[in-house]
Amino acid sequence: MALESTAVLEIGTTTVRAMVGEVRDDGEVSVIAIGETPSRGIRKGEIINRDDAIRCVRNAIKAAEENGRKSIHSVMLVTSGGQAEAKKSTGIHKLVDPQDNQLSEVDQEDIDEVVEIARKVALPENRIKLHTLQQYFQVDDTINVTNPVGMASEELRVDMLTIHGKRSAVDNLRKIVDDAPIQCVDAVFSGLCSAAAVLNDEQKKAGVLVVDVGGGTTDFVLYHDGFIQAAGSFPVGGDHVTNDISVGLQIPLGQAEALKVKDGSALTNLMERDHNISIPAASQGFSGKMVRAVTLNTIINARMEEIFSLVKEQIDVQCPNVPMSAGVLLTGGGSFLNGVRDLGQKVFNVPCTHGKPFYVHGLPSVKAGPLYAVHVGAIRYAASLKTVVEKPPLTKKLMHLFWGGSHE
Amino acid sequence: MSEGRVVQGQQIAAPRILVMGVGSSGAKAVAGMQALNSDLDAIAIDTDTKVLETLSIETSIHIGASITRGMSSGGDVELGRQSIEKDSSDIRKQLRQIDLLIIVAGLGGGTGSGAVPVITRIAREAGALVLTMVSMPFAFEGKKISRTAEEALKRIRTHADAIVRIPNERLIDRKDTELPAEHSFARSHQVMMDGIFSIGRLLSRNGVCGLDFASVHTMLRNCDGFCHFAGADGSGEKRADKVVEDLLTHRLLNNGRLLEHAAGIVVGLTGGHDLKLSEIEVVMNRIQEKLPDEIWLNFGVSIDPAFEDRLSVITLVAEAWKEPLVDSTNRQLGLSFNRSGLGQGELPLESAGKGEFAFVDPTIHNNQDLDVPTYIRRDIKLPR
Repeated sequence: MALESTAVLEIGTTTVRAMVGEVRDDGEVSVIAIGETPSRGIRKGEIINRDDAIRCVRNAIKAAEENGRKSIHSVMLVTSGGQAEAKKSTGIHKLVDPQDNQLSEVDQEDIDEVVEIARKVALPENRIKLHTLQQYFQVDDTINVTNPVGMASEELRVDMLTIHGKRSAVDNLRKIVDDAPIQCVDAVFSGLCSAAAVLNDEQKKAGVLVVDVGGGTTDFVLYHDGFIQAAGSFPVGGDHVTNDISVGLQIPLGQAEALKVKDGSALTNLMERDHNISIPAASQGFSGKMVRAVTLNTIINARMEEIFSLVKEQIDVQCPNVPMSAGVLLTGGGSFLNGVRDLGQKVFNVPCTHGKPFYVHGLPSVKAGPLYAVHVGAIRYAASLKTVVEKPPLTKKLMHLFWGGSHE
Repeated sequence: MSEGRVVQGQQIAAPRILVMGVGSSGAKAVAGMQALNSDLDAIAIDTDTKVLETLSIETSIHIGASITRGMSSGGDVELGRQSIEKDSSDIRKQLRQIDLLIIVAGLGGGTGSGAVPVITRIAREAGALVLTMVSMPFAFEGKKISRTAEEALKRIRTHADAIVRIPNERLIDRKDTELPAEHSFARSHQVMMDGIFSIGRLLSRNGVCGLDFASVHTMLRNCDGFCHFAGADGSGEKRADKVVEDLLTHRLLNNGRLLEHAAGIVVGLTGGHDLKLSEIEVVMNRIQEKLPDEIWLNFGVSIDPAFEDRLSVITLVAEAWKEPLVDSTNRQLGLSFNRSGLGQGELPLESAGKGEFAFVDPTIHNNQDLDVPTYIRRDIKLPR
C-alpha cells in the first residue's frame, strides 16, 4: 500500500512553515519536505495584513513543494486558535428504563450516544470548536473508568474536554489558506500537536505539561492519566520578549531579536553583572550600543517568568493539583532561549527539558526538534484521523463478531 | 593607590584608582588633592589652557584644541562634548588597566557637563568601575545652569556606576554670611577631597575589619544611582559620640534624613591604635538606629598611626532608586500624559512601551495589558 503523505501548515507569528510527511506502518513519521518563510502580516497569531500573509503562505507551500518535489493540494492547518481555551463538559445517559428495575450492560451504542451528548457544548458565538477530547467515563458511582463496555450500570457519564478558539482568528487563517488557493482539510490546535509529537504514553500517564513557546503565542497542554486535563493558549510569546528588549534598551527590533537569540538568557546571573554586550551598528541609522548583560536578562527574565506563570495560573484554574511527574517539555522557537529550561524548572518546580519529537526521521537536525514538534505532531494527528475513518467499521465488525455476537 | 603604593603593598594586583578632574572646577579640585597627597594618581582635563597652565599637577590633558582653540567651552555643553570626543583616544589610553575611575567635576558649565558623560561611557567600555563626584551649582547661578547640570547628571547616570552628588547649596550655612566666596567654592572641593582620600585610605590600608575594594564595588553596583557622601572627624574622650552626632546631622545627608530612606550604606572608620571596640559599637549602633531594616550595610575599620587620638568616619549612602533609567523617556511620557490633559471619563491611553504592539488588539489579562513589557508593569527597575 502506498503511503499517503500529509501536508501541514502552520501560520506562525515569526515563521510560516509547511511540512509534508507520511506515517509509516511502524508508526514512524517520515518527513518528506519542509518549506518555511519568515512571516509578515501576522501578529500575535492573528492576521493584520491579508496580502502579506497570503504571500507568505504561498512562499512556504512553494518552498515545501520544491523541497519535496511534490505538489501540495490540501493542508492541515495548525493554529493556536487565537487564545484557545479548554472547557469541560459532561454527558449523561440513562441506561435503565424506569419500569425495568434492573441494571443493564453498557455497549458501544451507549458510549456513542453519551459521547454525542457530551459533544454538544454551547459555545459563545465568537468561539469555534477545535477539538473534542474524550476523557473519563463514570459508571454509576465508579469514576475514572476508561472503557465501560460490558459493565453493568444504571447511568453512564462521560467527561469531554472541548478546546475552542476564536472564530474570527481560525476562520481567517483558513480563509487565507483557501485563498492561496489550497484546500484546508481541518484546523488543529497546535498545543495538541506538539504533545502528540513529543509525548509517549508513559509520560501522558505520569502527568506532563507541554508548553509551546512560539513567536506570538504560547500554547500549553497538560496530560495526566493518559488524558488531556488542561489546554490553552494566550497571545504572548517570543515577540514580546523581543519587543520588551527593544523598548527597554532602546534599540531597533531587529537588533533586539538578534541580541535575544545570541546573548539573551532567561536567568539573571550574578556572575555576569559586569558583562557588557556590544550591539554592532546597523546600516540603517543605528549607531551601535553597549548594554549590560544583566539589564538584558532582567528584561527577558521578567517576561519569560510571566509567560510561565500565566501557564501555571491557567493550569491551577482548570485542574488544580495535577501531578506533573514527567516534568515539563518545552517546544517551539522560544524554547531555544538560554536558561529558559532552568526558569521553567523554577516556576513549575519540576524538571523541564526540550520536547523533541521521536519516531521521526528527515528533520534537519535533532537539535532543531522542538521547532518542528508541532508539525510532526500534526502529521501524526492527520494520519490518525484518516485511519479512524477507515478502520472503525472493521473493528466494530470484529467486536460485534466476538462480543456482540455471543450475546445475541 | 599609585605605583608607589602598589610596590609597597604585599599584593601585586592592588586595585588601581585614578582620579580625573574634568572642567575647570574639577581640574582645580584634583590639583588641590594632589598637592596634599602626592601619591594620588590624578589627571586634570580641561579645554581651557589658562586653567591647566596654572595648575601644579603632573598629568593634564588638554582637550578640544581644534575646537575651542585653547579657550574654555564658554558654558556650551555641546562644545564640551565635541572636545572630548575629538580627544577620546587620549582618555582611553589613560584608562587602560584602571579598576576604579573617580571623576571629579563641577556640573553646570560647558566642559564638565559635556565631557563627563562621554568619559563615563569610555570608562565603562574600558571595563572600569566609575564613581562620579559632581558638585551641583548654587541656586543663585540661575535656572539655566542648574538645568544644564541636571541634564548632564541624567546622561552621566546611564554609564556611571555611582554618582556622588554634592549640592553646593547644602554646603553653605545660610547663617554664615561672612563666608568669603573663595571659601565657599573651596568647600565643595574639600568635601570631594575628603571623600576620595577616605575611600583611598579605606581601600589601601589593612584594617582590623577590612573594607576592601570588592565591598565598595558591590555597594556601587547595588546602589546604582545617587550616592551621598558624608564624613566626620572627632578627637578626645567623647569622640565617638561627637562623630556620630555630626554625621547624623550632616548637611550633606540632609540633616540625617537621607539615612532613613537609604538603600545601601558603607561606613568606614579610621582611627589610631587607641581605637576601642566600644567606640566602634557606639558609632555603628547609633547609625543603625536611623537606618531602615533591609538596608545593605557594610562597614570597615582601618588603623592609621596618623589618626592617633582621633576618629574619622565616612559614609557613602546610596539613595533608593526612584525611577528606572533606561526607559525613563517612555515612562515619563506615559506618566505625564496620564496626569494631565485627561478629562472626566477619559481612559488614559497607555501605550508606553508597547512598541510594535501599540496598534494591535491589546491582550488583557487580569486587568493588565500583556503587550506592555513585564518589567514596566511589575515596576522592575532595570540595572543599567
